Amino acid sequence: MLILIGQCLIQGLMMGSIFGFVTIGMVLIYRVTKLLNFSHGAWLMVAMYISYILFVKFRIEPYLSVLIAFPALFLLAALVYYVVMRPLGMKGHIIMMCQVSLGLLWILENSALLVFKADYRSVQSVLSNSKFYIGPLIIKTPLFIAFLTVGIIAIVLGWVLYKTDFGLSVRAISQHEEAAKLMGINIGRVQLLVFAIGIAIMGIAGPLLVPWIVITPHAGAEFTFLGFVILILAGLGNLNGALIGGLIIGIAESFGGTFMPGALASVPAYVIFILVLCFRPQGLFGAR
Amino acid sequence: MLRVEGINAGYFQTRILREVSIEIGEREIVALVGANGAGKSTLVKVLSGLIKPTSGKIMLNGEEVTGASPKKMVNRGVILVPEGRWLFPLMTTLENLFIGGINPRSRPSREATLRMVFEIFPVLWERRNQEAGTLSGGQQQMLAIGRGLMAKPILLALDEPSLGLGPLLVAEIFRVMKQLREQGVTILLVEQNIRQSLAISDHGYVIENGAVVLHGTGSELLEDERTKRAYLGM
Repeated sequence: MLILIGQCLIQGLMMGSIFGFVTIGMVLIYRVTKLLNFSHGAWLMVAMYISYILFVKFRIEPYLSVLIAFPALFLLAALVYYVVMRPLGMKGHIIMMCQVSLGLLWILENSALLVFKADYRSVQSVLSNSKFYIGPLIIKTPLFIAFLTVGIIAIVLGWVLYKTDFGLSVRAISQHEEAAKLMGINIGRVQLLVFAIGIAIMGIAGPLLVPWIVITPHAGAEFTFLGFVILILAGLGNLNGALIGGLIIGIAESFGGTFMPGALASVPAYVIFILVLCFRPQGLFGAR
Repeated sequence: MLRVEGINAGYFQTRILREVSIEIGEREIVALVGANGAGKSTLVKVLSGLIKPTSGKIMLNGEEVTGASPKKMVNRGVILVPEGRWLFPLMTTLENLFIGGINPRSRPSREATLRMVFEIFPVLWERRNQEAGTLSGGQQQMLAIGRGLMAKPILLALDEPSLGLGPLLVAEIFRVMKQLREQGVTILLVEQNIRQSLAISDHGYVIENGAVVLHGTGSELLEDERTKRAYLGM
């Protein structure tokens, strides 16, 4: 029994780090552009399909496909932002921006449905079935690699935010946009870059998931939904909170999946969510 | 150096400024005085690019900058220290100063400018790693001015720098303004503290209900009955 609990914890921590990673992108985009990006998880799905095609057609290992998925998502997201979101944002139509992101979600998911149908697809890469042991606990290698990678990227993001001028601009806009204008910061350019990068990092997470997750057009939906849950759980706009909230939800999902009957697997996560909303509506980590 | 002609501006449907024209010469200290709501803050926001005028012209050193973006004005050296300071609350004193110098004009010499700002405001050096939101009112005001100085202004607009500060600090800030003028910075001072601001200025404008009603040297305005009337709204 103890081993099972230990297994749940480890699994939950690693999955949770991925949920947290997705949420970090959403937090950054929200704080800098005020957009709640409903399409966020869908980009993850797009990256997974890019990885899938590259594997099936060209025998390219999923981990290598990051080199294509990341720039592809970056450019596509930048284009979408520049053409559609930015004009809306400059006129202050924040709600419309959110609606556009919904439209984006539908376009992305339905395009995938059109091209790939709703069939489950999977990629059997060299590492797909590999695992290793820590004591009695089984660790799936691809999951562990994903965990390490998102951890490293989170550290890199933290470094950029706190040690570079660009990061300073990002934090300035998220704390006081009008003041940031007075510093001579090019608000529009920073917002574009944050949106594009926030989505491009899905181009890193997607291929990481491909060796061991089933690919469907709706694969991203769960991540988006949990992303919002974690966003609110942590307190809208809190970056560290997004990571920790991700871990909490990851562990809850893991225990739910193991100990609850099938359809109720997500109940523990939502119970935690509702409890936090009841007793600490500003989120676990408060306003910022 | 700066010539403003016939500016009309406002927010949404409301017109705040009516045909405002002012002139600021190099190395001058120019005062903008008037009652609350007269339009002084609106005018400096127009000058800094935050608000676009609906009509009128702004010329900076012969170049037309009407309707320029805040980024462009900052790159030209027009720096606003706004009313309410607008510090970045979760950044440290040092980070606030650092970001003040982020624009391409001031970025190359940022380290040197930082040292200069710490010399002018030693208390900022003591509190350099403290979050800006936790500083006292006076320290925040000094940080706001220091942050403005980091951008290497040729024209520094200060909106109500003495607001909420005790007399010692106010005197300190006015002393700093004189020091800056010695160093070649032109200053536009928006103040409710009429006596001290008119005393320090080369000339000033009295604004009432969005229009310039009076213009003269500091002492002329101080003696004029109409100043008192416009200021007190009588």
